Formats: sequence, structure tokens, C-alpha cells
Amino acid sequence: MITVLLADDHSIVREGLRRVLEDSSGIKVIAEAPDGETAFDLAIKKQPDVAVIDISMPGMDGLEVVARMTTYCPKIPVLILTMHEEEQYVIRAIEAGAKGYVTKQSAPEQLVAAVKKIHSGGRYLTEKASEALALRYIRGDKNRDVMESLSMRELQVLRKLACGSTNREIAITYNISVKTVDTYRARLLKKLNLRNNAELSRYAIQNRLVEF
Amino acid sequence: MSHLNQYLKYSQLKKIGISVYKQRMRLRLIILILAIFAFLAVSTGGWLYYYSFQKAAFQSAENQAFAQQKLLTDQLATYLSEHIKSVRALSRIRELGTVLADTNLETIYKANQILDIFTHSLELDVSYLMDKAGTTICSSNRNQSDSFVGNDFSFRPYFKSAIQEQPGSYLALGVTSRKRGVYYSHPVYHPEIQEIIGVVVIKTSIEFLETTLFSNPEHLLFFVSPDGIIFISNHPRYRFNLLWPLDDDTKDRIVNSRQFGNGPWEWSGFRRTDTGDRIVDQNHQEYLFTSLPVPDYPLWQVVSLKNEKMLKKQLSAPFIKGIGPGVIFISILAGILVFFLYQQAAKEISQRKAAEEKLRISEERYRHIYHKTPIMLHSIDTNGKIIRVSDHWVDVMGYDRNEVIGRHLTKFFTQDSRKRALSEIFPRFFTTGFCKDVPYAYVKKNGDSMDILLSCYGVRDETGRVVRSLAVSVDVTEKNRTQNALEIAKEKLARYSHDLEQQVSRRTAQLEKTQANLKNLSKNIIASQEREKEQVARELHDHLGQVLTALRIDVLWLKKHFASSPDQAADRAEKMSLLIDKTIQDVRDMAYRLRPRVLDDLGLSDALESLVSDFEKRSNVSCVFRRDVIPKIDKTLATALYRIGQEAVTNAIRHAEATTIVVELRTNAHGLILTVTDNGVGFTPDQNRNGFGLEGMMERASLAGGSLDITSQKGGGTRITCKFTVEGWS
Repeated sequence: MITVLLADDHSIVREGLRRVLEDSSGIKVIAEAPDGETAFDLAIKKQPDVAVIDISMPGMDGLEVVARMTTYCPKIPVLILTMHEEEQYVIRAIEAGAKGYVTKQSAPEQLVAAVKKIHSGGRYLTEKASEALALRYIRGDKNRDVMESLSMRELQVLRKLACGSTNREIAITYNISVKTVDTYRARLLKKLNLRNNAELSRYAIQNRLVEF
Repeated sequence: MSHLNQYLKYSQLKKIGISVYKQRMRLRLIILILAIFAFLAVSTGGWLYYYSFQKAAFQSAENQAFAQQKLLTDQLATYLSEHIKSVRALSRIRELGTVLADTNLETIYKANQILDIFTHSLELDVSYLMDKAGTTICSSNRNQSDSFVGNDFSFRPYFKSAIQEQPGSYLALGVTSRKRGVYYSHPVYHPEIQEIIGVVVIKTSIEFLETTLFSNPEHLLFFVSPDGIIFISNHPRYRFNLLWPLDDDTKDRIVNSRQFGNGPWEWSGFRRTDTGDRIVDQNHQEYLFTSLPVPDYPLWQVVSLKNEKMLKKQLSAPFIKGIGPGVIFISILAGILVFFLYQQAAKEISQRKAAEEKLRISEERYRHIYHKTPIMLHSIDTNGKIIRVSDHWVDVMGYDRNEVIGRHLTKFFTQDSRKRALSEIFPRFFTTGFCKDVPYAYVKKNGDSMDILLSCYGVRDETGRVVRSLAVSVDVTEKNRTQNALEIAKEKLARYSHDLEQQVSRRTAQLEKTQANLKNLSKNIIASQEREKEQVARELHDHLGQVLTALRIDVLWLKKHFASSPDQAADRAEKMSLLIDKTIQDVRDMAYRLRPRVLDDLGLSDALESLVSDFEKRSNVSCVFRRDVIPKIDKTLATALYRIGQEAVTNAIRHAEATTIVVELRTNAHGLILTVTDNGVGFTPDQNRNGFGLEGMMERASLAGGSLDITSQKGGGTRITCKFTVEGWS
């Protein structure tokens, strides 16, 4: 049985989430907190197996709770729950020490799996979130001047192309048209002074834009 | 009036012209006389010089001629006495005495031989021997046609003197030979006894003498007998002419003497003048006459006649040649000089005359101006009495001129003015000779008072003393009145202007305050706007969003619950969940547009990054965001920068048709710099930019205490730089 601390300032949401968690077998919500302070206190007091924390809460917000918990009870993995889809939140949460990230919207489908995954010692990130992290990592490397001139979307397309995705696949992934993907590809080749997809792949690997 | 003036001017000019002309004529006459005098002086000098020169030359010529004549005379005498000794020697030869003592063929032959030898060796004309009676018995020309033998020459004076034991010499024309000659005679004595038995004679020609000694062609040279017969002459036509006219007795006597043939001897035409110092010929040519006696030939004379004209010509020719041009040159020079001086003098005089005339006209004009100019003019003498006033003066004052002239100026002054004039102004004026804008008051004839300003200067005599004044009075009564009114008005104006200024400054302060208030208001409006947006966004996000989320959870639960149900509940739940998803997305978008939570939750840097990637997702434009790590900043400032960035990127996408946009958030020593650069079409500064929200950006920047700079070029993209200074930054 996995014990879970659930922190969210909206009670109706909390209730819903609790139902979602408890509907599955093997998960039990042992504590609920309406704000950050309570969540931290309960985490220390109840020592749950997993903490599911809403990122925006009055008072101490989710990020700070994560930061504190990483310091005071590093053994409890934290899953960040949020209304926001912006990657910036993901990155912050992971940087702060969270092990996983789930939007409230996708909670009904993903929350149980996420709790189980981080309880088993893994990370739970959506594909988008992990990509954002990778890109942040890449862009954060100051030594790579060329990256400075590439936009986020360009980097995304570059990675996908390097991994061998087709234009159609990429278009579906990012919900854009195939023609737009082609435009990005042409722009990338021009910016990086490359000739074809093979060279793009080689460039991405050499610059550690993709991992194998 | 102007016609009259013109006429006056014209007539004056005419007068000037005439007088100048007269002046010139007089001057010309004087100069002409002077020139004549100068010319005469030069000429007289020249003539006197020439005369003295000529006289001296004449004298020297005369002396020279005399010396020549003397020489000639001496030579002549020498020549004439050449054969005196020869004849004596001949007379001593024995054969001649022998033939006379014993006349026979043999002795004659011998004697003739002797004569031949003599004649030949001495180059004589002829030599011959006469007996006591004078008959020629022997002669060197006995074999010629004109032989003397047998001829009787006892009538010759030389025979007569020789027979008297006196050797003679004689000048005569040969009776037989018809040739002139000099005869030398000597008595011949008996070989044994001292008794004269004959006379021997030598005759030499004078042709040689004439050609050698009388060769001078310039003058007339004569050898003249005591009776005046020209025996030798350098001009053949005068030979045997009479130098002077002779009476018949003398002529007869000469005929009888047979000395010069039978005549008739023409008169040469020379005659002494009445005064006796000159000789004239028949053509009235004057000659210079000199004569010298010849020794041994008493009363014979060598006469020289010099043509005075010729002489003068000879003498003056070199003089005229040398001095003449000089004299002429000097004369011309003098003439030119005189003419030049005349021109100069004439010019000078006409100038002076013109100046005088101008002066006179100007004086007249001055007088005219003085009287007629509508200005109050007056002049006073040293006693202060009026000596002249202008027409305007009397008009204004209302007096007649004769009421004014001669009266003291101060009689027309008010009490105050009079006092001041006499005690102060007059003494000063008569020493300095000048005063300016002295305020007086006149009293008119009708008793009115009149304020004036009087300016005057003193007219001085040659010693520099002020003798009278020339004064201008300007009526300032009206002006003073106006001035007073003006001053009052000015004062009023100053008061008004002061009030106005105060009002203006009050208003300005009010305006400034209002402006500050407005600015604050703007700030507040923006702030409250943002606050409201934030509230609404939060409301949407936190409230509606959460409710929707909860709803979704439940709907999905329902869906799961009815999954096995035969009716379409599960499908309905699925539809609901999709609707809820869409609504959540809408709410999220709305909230994001209003105010992204990321700005409040994660700060400016993440907010801008999110903004940029959001724009990229929605536009397909390459949007690059670059940043430095920035510290936490004030919310208002963060909002302002975020909104500026949002507006700039929006503009770039919407208006600039850019394909690349770079947003940079950098820090420097003073604060933050946000730069948004695009590669779009750009714009020129004069284009209307209000549509691009540039004004709004500017206002936001300025309200937040920053500056915004926009550089753009048509076709060269746009760069928007926004700088904020952050207090306590470092």
C-alpha cells in the first residue's frame, strides 16, 4: 500500500484527486493539506511514501515545499501537480527536486501511474516535459554559441529530425502543419550551415542534443 | 516752388559760367603777355649772345684777315724785290759795258749770249739792254715777233731813274708784249771809266705771283697802284679796273705815263659809304675794306675787300647750327612751360571759383533753409539778443518778426526758464559753445506756455570766441503730455504684467501638479489595470480552472463507471470531458492573455521565455530568447518590461513581417536592458507609428522610470531597446 500526501488549496479538486488515487488499488491518501505549510508539516509528521503537491498554493507555494522537503525529508519523492502547462514550471519543479510532474487536467489518466512510478524510484515526466528539460539543459550550456541563435521550436524540430522522425510525425507531435516543419528544417539547415538530414543528425549527436 | 528753385539754380550756374569765362580770359591775356615777355627775353638773350658771339667772331676774323693780308704784303714785297740783286749782278757783267762802249756785231752777240743765259737761268720774262738814249740794243727776245730791239723805252720811269744812277723797279703793262710785269733796271757803266752808258732791265711776269699769292677765292684781293688802278686781282674781271672813280686829269696823266697801256680803265663800282667806314659795290653789297702799303713801292697798296654778308654767313652758320636749335628748344620749352602753368592756374582758378560759388549757393540755401524749414530756429548774439529767427518760430510763437528781433531771448521764457537760462545755461553755452536738449518753456504771444527742448551750438569768430548761436527748439509739450500718459500706462502695464506673471506661475504650478497627478493617475491606472487583470486571471485560473478540473475528474469517473452500461452514458461523459478540456484550454488562454501566472510565480525571465515560445508556437516565426541571470525585481518594473516585450514582439509579428525575432534580457552595471530585434520591413520615423502601440510602450517605459529607444530603417528591421536603472544594483 502506497501512502500519499495530497496538497491542494482547492478542496473540490483535492477531493477529485483523492477519488482518482483511491479508486486504484494499492494507494492510500493518508494526509491532505490545503496549503504549503500544512503540507510540509504533514510530510514531516506522517512520512508518506509519496507527496503530491500542487505547485500554486497560498502562502508557501509548491516549489518551496519541494525545496524544503528535499532538504528535510529527501526520501519522500514529490510529484508536482499543476494547472499550468508552461514548461517553465516543470523545469522549476524538477530543479527544486520534484521527481515527477502531472497537470491537473491529465491527472485522471496519469496520476496513479505517476505516483507508482516515482514510488518505485523513477521519474515521471511527460514527453513534453522531458523534452523541455533537455532543451533547457542544452540551452543552458553557454559554450554552445550556435544554440543561442536557435529558437526553442527549432531545437525541438532539430532533435526530432536527428532522432529520425519524419516531417509528418513531427507535425503531429507539435500540432503544426507539415509545411511548417519543412520551413523549420530549411531554416535549421541555413542557420547551421548544413546540407541534409544526415548532417543534421551528425550535428545533433556531436553537440549532444540527443541521447542514445 | 521746385520750379523756382531749379530756375535759381540754373541762373546761378549760368552766372558762375560767365564769371569763370571772364576770369579765364583775363588770365589768358596775362599769361599770353607773360609768355610773350618770356619769349622776348629768351630771344633778346639769344640775340645778344649771338651778337656778341658774332662780334667776337668778326673781330677774330678781322684779325686773322689782317694777319693774312700782312703776310701777303710781305710775301709780295719779297717777291717784288727778288730780282734787284740779279739786275745789279747783270749790270756788272763786262760784255754789257763793252757792247755799249763799242757796239759791233761781236759785242752784241756776246751781250745777247749773256742776256739769254740770265733770262733762261732766272726764268725771266725777258732781259734787255738799252743805250744811253733809251734804245734797246740787245734783248733776250730779239728773235721773237715782239722783239724789243730797236725800241725806245726812255719814257719808262725805271729808265729815267737808272740813267740817273738809281736802280729802279717798276710795275707796268708791257708796251710791246702787252703783258704785266715787274721791271728791274740798273745803270751800266763804261768798262774803263765811271760813266753810265746804258741801262739793263729784267722783266718778270706777275702771272705766277697772281696765281700763287692772290689765290684766296673768298674775298677780293687787289694790288692797287697809287692812282687806284687794280694791277693784280684774284678775280680777273677787276684787272685794270679803277678802284675808285677818277677824274679825267688823272686819267690823262695815267695815259701819258703809258704804265698801264692806253685804257680805258673801267670803274670797278666800289664806293665808300657816306659814313666812310664801309665799301659798297654797285649791287649795294657791303664790304669790309682793309689796305696795306707795300715796302719799296710807295703808294701801292694791297687791298682786301670782304663781303660782309658772306662773312656773316660764314661766321653765323656754325653758330646757328650749334646754338640755334638750343635757343629754339629753350623757347619751345619755355612756351610749353608757360602753357602748362597757364592750364594749371586756369584749372586752379576755375576750381576755386566753383568752390566759392558753391559756398555762396550753399549759404543762400542755408539761409533759405533757415527761414523756410518748419523748425523753430533762432540765433542770439553774445548779449542774448535775438538776431535772427525762422518763419516757423514766429508763426508758432504768434509774434511779428519785428517784435522779436533785437529783444532778449529770455523775454520769451517763463520765469523759471529765464532764471535758469541766465544763471546757468547762458554762461555755460558761451564758454563751451554747445548745449543739447535743454528743457525750457516759452510763453507765446497769446500767453500759452510751451515746453521745448533747446539745442544749440555757437558760431565762433576767427579767435574762437562764440559770437552768436544757432539754436533749434523742439516743441515737446505734446510729447511730454504723451510721455506722462505713457508712463502712467507703463506703470499700469507693469502692475498687470506682475499680476499676470503671478497668475502664470500659479497656473504653472497647478499644471505641474496636475501633470504629476496625471502621471500618477496613469501609473495607478496601469497598476490597477494590471491588478484587475491579475485578479481576473487568478479568478479564472484558480476558481473556474479548478472547478473545471474537478468536473473533469468526476466526468472521467462517470465515464469509467458507465463504460459497461448499454446506454450511451459513457459516450456522453466522453463528450463532456472533451468540452471540459476545451473550456479549460480557453480559460487557461484567457488567463494567460490577461496576465500570465508565470510572471508572478516565476519572474520576468521565465515569463518572457514563455511568451517568446508561445509566440513561436502560434506564428511559425523563429523567436529566440536570450537572457542573463537576473535577480528578483520589483513587480511593477517586471510588468512594464513584460508588457513592452509583449507589445514589441506582437508588432514584429503583426506588422514587420519578420522571420526572426530575438528578445534579449541583459543586465549591466546600472540595471536591465531589454532588446527586441527583428529582421522585418522596418519603418521610417515619419511614418505614423501610433498603430504599432509604440506610444504605449514609450509611456510604459517612462512611467516605470526607464527609457525606450527605437531604431528602424525601411527594409532594415527594427530594434527596440528599453533600459531601466535599478536602484542599488551592482
